[in-house]
Amino acid sequence: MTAHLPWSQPSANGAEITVDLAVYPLEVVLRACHAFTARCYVFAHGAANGRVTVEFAARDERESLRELTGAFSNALLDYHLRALIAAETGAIRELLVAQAFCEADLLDRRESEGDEGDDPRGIGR
Amino acid sequence: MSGYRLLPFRFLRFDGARTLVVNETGEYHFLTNGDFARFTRRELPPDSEVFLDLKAKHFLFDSGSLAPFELLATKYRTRKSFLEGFTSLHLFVVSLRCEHSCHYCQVSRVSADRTRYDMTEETARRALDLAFRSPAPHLKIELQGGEPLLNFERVRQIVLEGGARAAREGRQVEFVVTTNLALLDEEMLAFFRERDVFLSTSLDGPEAVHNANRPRPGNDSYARVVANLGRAREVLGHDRVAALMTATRLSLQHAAEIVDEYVARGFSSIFLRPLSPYGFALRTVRTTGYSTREFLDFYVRALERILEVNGQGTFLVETYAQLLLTRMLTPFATGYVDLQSPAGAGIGAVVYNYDGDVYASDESRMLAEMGDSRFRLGNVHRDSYQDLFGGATLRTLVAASVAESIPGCADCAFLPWCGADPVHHYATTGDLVPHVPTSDFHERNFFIIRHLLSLYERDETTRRIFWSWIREEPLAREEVA
Amino acid sequence: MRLHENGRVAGVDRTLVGRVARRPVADAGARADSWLIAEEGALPCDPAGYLGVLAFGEPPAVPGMPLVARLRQLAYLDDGDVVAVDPNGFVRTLYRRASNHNFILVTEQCNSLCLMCSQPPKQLDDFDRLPEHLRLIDLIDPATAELGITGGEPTLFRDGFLALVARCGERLPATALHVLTNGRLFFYRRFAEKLGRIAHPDLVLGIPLYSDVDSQHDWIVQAPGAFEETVLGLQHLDRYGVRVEIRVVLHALSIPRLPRLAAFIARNFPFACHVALMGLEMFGLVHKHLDELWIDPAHYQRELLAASEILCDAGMNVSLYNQQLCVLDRRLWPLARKSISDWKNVYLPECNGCGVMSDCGGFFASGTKIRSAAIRPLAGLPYRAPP
Repeated sequence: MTAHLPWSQPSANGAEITVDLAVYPLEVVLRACHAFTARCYVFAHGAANGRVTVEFAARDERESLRELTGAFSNALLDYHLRALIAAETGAIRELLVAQAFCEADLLDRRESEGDEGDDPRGIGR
Repeated sequence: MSGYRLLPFRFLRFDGARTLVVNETGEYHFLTNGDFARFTRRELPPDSEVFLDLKAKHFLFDSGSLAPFELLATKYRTRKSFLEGFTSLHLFVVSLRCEHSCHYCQVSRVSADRTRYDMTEETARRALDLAFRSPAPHLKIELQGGEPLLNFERVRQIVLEGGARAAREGRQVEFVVTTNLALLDEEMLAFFRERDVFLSTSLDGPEAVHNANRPRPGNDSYARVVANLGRAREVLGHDRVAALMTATRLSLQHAAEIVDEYVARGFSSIFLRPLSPYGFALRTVRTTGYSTREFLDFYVRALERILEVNGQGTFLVETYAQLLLTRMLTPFATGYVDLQSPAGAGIGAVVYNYDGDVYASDESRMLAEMGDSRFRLGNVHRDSYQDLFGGATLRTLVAASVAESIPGCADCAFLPWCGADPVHHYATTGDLVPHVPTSDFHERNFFIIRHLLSLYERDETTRRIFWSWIREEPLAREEVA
Repeated sequence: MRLHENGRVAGVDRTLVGRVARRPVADAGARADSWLIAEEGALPCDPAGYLGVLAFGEPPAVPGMPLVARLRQLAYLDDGDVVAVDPNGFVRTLYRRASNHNFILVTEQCNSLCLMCSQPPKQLDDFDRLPEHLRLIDLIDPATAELGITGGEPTLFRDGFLALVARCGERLPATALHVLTNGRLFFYRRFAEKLGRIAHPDLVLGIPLYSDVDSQHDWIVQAPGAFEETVLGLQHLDRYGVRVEIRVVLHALSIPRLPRLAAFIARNFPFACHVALMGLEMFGLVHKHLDELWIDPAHYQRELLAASEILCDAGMNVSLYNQQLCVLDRRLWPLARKSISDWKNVYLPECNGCGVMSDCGGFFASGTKIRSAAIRPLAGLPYRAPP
């Protein structure tokens, strides 16, 4: 087994991965970096052409750089997915929180606030 | 509407094959990694079992129906309902003095100086006034120390005046005295019985472990607890006395024996608590302390023994697991202040110290005894209710403890089941907001939640036991082996 | 047991609802509400001041007052029972004091058309029956333990339904009132609020929920949107303090997701005071949809056990109705209830010699043809009564 994955490069003190920001937004890259701060030292710095380079230095000599960069690469995918889910469901999440904490009603209840005698939804028919 | 849309959820790659999804109200589902990929790519066929499961558990919706939003909103409100009561738990430190000198004890003093370390009548009265300002319909007043029985006059005063006041206002108040039981006498017992007071004591395990953890003159702490526990149960009733344990380095070697001691003493619950990182505990970390990893290893072994005991027909609840399981498996809120978001410090509980100082939590008080009074909300003699509970200290604390906005917590699948503990993080790292990847709070809760889930999924018997803990109801005879 | 009979009528110009009296009624006011019973021409007392006379066999001479003669079937009628007499001589038993299964059938109209409906709804305008129902409530013995309100769909009476519940609360405050409704109209929050405001001292609404998935529930009740309406209805009722019971009928369409439905109920409606899991009643529309609905109960014990355990684990109160002990998993026996009305309840020839028959719910008299292949007599086993 090689010490480095094909898409990671050895660096002065460990390994580095260069991420295309057109594929992964910076926010996603940084969140993934944050999650790795217990396992290793992480340094993200900008490079040209819409790319960011993430450098890894092991905290512990026994930590495999191959494992580390591999796990990071997979984590990027998951953090990207989390960002997509958050973007899609953010409005609903806010609605739920607001609905729980404020007196005003935010759901569209034109129907259920109707009169059972008028029966705008036609339930009794 | 064609196709389907996602509802808010978080996920965790649980093991090599499965992804765990947890929605905003704490409902969860295990998916194969393949189904998870299809789910998020909107490729699940609408007649597939997985699709229907995720729809019924509110991970997706496929029509304009109000039902999923109505149900989600109700469940979300239910989970956060602990906020409505506002400060229902009030802790009174009636004396800082104690005749024990436990290695892990945070702040108590072995001293005969009553004027210096005991709460005065006037301080108690003002603290009671504040407690009754709380809008909570049901108040719980906990009298602690030091050893509160060293200032029994104050205990009596608070219980009598608090009880009378509750009766006048038509409110419910429950009194708990947290005591080592060593000084309990018949007069006190008669009073507790008359006023319907609960006792909470400390039992660290079998005699050798208990006495080593809890030194006192004569080295007879265990003998006194056991004798007075029996007497207290005779007078007050068996279920009126509960016990807590604190794990020291020594305890870690005796997981099964500690559990067995609780069974032998007839307790129906045990709370496997790690040392707090405060006060004397922090100073003596080398002799009594251990890593989070070591504690978790102990926790797993003790829990296994507890499950075994339950399987044999003895009802014994592990309190921390019960709390987490209730959050994981039911729609209900739990009252435990250290596992809330926002955190319960100050808004779920408040501490009145012997000298009248008011703190957001017991941990805040201990921190102050160590010289950092950052979480002192004020003093009962100088500050008004508004100053204390509407002030900057409490606001900062609440703002820092919304887990939903903490980096690392915000993405964590366990967030709806977990909480934030800013005072803990401040005490251990100097920062209210945790660095989640290295936080011991995170490590402990993440591990335990994951462990409980694995156990719950593991076998039928464990599932039944866990639910019996949630219901606080022993399993029926035929359900145990 | 027959609940109605045609007699020879005289002097009845509108429906007259009254209590039955075999013995003289002392109170003059109560007398005016009472049908005096005559047996073979003999009256227990002077009929003057009574509402009328119901005569079994030969009529006595009672000129100038309402009389129904030549009755035979309703001989069980006794003091305190309530009957309605129509102008055409049709005598209907509305309430039997000795029974534990009295109910007011409010209407035969319904807004759902459940595939397994045992009492298929009728398209008729029966809203004018409200005064009779209210009158009945006035006449029922206040010592009655339980009274049902059923249909059709009783909430279709809207204000009339609320009036019935209110009247029960006023006249029968000690009587538990159990309403069978699909709950759909409580989708309108204010309807639930009005019901809650009545503050009936002992009211439960039994509401069916057949799936945790809207499309499946809607199909079973043959009403698009019904799931959403019932779900919101349950929430609204809880909000206004109205107790609800959730009722699930077990058949081939509801069984596959039954454990998931149980989890859905525990998670979303933990406030339900009772969950009833009910075997299929083999009459009414069920025969029309038998291919779609039938599953031998012996083949759904695994799902039933799982669902029951989920609900019991969550601390919910669970009952199994219309189940026979010989088919039921032994672990579920403590949840089985004898739920079939006394006079509808029968056993089969196969049951002869069964040692647990007296604990068993048995069968509906009108639906014994299609039944589990597992029906058989059991040896007498120690049976633990439900707590």
